[in-house]
Amino acid sequence: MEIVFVLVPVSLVIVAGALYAFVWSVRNNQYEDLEKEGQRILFDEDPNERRTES
Amino acid sequence: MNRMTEFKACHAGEVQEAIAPAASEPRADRSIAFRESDQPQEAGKRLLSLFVPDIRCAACTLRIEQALLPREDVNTCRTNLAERLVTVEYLGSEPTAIVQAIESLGFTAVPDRGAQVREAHRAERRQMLMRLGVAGIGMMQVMMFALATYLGGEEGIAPAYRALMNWASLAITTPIALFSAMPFHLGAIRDLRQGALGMDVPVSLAISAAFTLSLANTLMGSGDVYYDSVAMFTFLLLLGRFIEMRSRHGYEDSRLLADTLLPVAARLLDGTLVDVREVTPGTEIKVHAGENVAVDGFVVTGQSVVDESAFTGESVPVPKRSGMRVLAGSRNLDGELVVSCTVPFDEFVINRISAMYREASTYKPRFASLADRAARYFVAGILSLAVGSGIYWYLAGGPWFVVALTVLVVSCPCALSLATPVAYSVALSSLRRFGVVVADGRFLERLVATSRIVFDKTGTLTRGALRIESIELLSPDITDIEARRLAASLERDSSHPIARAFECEGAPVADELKVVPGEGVEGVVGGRFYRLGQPEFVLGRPYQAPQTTGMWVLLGSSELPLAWFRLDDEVRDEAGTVVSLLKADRRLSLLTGDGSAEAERVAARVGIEDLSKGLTPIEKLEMVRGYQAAGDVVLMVGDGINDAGAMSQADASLAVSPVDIMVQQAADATLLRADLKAIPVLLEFAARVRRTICQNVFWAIGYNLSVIPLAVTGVLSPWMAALGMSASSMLVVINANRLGWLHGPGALAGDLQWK
Repeated sequence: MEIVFVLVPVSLVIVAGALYAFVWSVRNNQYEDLEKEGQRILFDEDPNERRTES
Repeated sequence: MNRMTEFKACHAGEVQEAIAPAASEPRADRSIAFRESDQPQEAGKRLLSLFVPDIRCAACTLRIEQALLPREDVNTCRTNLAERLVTVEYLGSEPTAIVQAIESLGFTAVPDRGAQVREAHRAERRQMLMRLGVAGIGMMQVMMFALATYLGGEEGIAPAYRALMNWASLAITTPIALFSAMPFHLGAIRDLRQGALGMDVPVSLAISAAFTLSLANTLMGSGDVYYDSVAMFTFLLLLGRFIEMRSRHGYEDSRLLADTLLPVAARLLDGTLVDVREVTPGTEIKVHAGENVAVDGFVVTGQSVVDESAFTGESVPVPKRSGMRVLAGSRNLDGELVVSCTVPFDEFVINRISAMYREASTYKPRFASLADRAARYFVAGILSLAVGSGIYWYLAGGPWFVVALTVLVVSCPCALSLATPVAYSVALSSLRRFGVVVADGRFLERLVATSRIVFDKTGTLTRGALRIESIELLSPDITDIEARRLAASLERDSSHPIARAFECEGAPVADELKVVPGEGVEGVVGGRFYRLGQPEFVLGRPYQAPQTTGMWVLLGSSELPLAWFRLDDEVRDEAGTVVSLLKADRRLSLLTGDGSAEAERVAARVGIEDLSKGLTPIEKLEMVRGYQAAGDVVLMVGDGINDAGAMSQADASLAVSPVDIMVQQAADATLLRADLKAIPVLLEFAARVRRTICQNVFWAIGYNLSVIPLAVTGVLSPWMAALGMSASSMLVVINANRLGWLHGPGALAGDLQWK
């Protein structure tokens, strides 16, 4: 049973990792436009296109 | 809309993004920024529209109103909770004083301009998502730890393990209570500072109290902890607010239509880009395929297909040739067009629609303001109830804290305060997509009560577009089709509504065309000089038309009459079906200014028995007043041109106005798709909106009344309270979101397609 004294802190670390990943994805606009990105491949690539935020 | 046009739509967006920087002006200083959202009104009054992102509850809006209204420079002040908008009519020239007054209350105010509002939305959405994620992920893990202690409570658990679980829960719940629940705490602090009791006070109090007690018990190593309840309560409440935020944003976005569709810059013929606000009438601009038209005007050269679905909800693109009107914000799908601007920026149809929307959105349904006021006393009530039952249970030696906490959580009137505003936001944005512009918020409420519908004839039951009914030849050396073609060539350059009636295939080329306003047109075809119009103009002398009724136009050459055209207006195809549908449960009347037998023909054709013809606008108004005196609630449906008086007298009014003519100001609502089938759909929708609001209010009040006794008597535990309270607000929001769809009565279902 003593193993939980290791496992519980490990679970906390994993939760912290999950939270970090989530916060990172929100900060990097991963959820801003769920439609456009899927359709992007259907458009011609413009070599001079400026990468825009969002 | 098919996939191809959708892709083109995306492209159009990108084109706009690309040209935007070229025309964007440098960031102006603060007071200039506010001056932008500031419109001059009559007599030195100005209207300022502000977006205040941190309005959270009715108490906030009331406080802003209370702070601004006593000011000498403020004339009127209206606030909108669902949209977080403050509209101030003020005297003087400096908007910054008003902005400062709002900011001194602890709010932030930004000008209500599309881009900033959208930016504020994005930031709000992102922040909310993070809070929600922290609460959600944390909640799942806290539940695992809590399960161990719950099982331990039954089976017995060693204090060391129990302490471990509590400390682990504490580690996860701390960010939830501090970060995720921050909007509730901030809201509560602002409320208390202002000496008001808002919705956030009990919520914040419950979260802080439960968390603090759990923290103390964890440190002391004895007593109960409520980390799981804190996490779940926060998560579910945030989820409810998140959904509410989404529907509010959806509504605001539909209002921001003008900023989204209207290009920032217009391309002049020489290729230079100018700010679209600075384009003056008479300027010609170029619109490439895939771009949105930048101005209201008519096509000078070019031929294309234009998508006007943003205005009409009608997804079939409209062909445009030279001479036809195009609207700023519609999308040019095919060829290149040269468009001549006809009106200044503020009078673009799209901007007028947007202004009407802003007007309608500040309207607060009577019931909503009542609920807001009631909620304030309600909060004071539950706070004292929570304290009271806590004291009672303390004296009785029972679980006083748990009971007080449960009462606090369970009785929060969040659902009640959300019940009406969310339903209204969702309903108005659905109507917008359906092609109905609502200018007066009361429209929907009044529509439900309508017992009599009064129709106008021309332009409402009929198309309002003339066509050739019959041709009477006056000379043996001309045939029907020749006469038609001649007339078509003569009318080629005329923009008068009559000209459309003559459009015809195979018209010969005419030279020296001249339009004589009010008289007719003249020109040379095949070496011969012709005139078309009034007999006095064509022949230079009076000439008797074959009949007195109807509209007659004469074609003549060198004072020799050739042919009479009888022009007539066509009854809309759907009028009969719509009338028979409406007849089932409402009385119908037809009021028309037309005194001819034509009026009877139309009435008989569509099936309206109650006909009054040959009325002046004043008489129409009197008729409407008469119906009202007889106890009818009247809906007036007209084209808004000569029945404006009757429209404002009627309880509700609807203008049927093809978007390329004009947006009517007199009507409470305007039907941008000239299709009468929308009327039964609207009536049914209005009834649905009312039903939804009733369900919401009934649920919210019923829920609070039924669970408070259970909480006071200690039957409920805090987690049940948290679940019930947040589920209740979520239910209300989801129920309101059902209004995101309009559908017609069975008989029309198949006919109505909209975006």
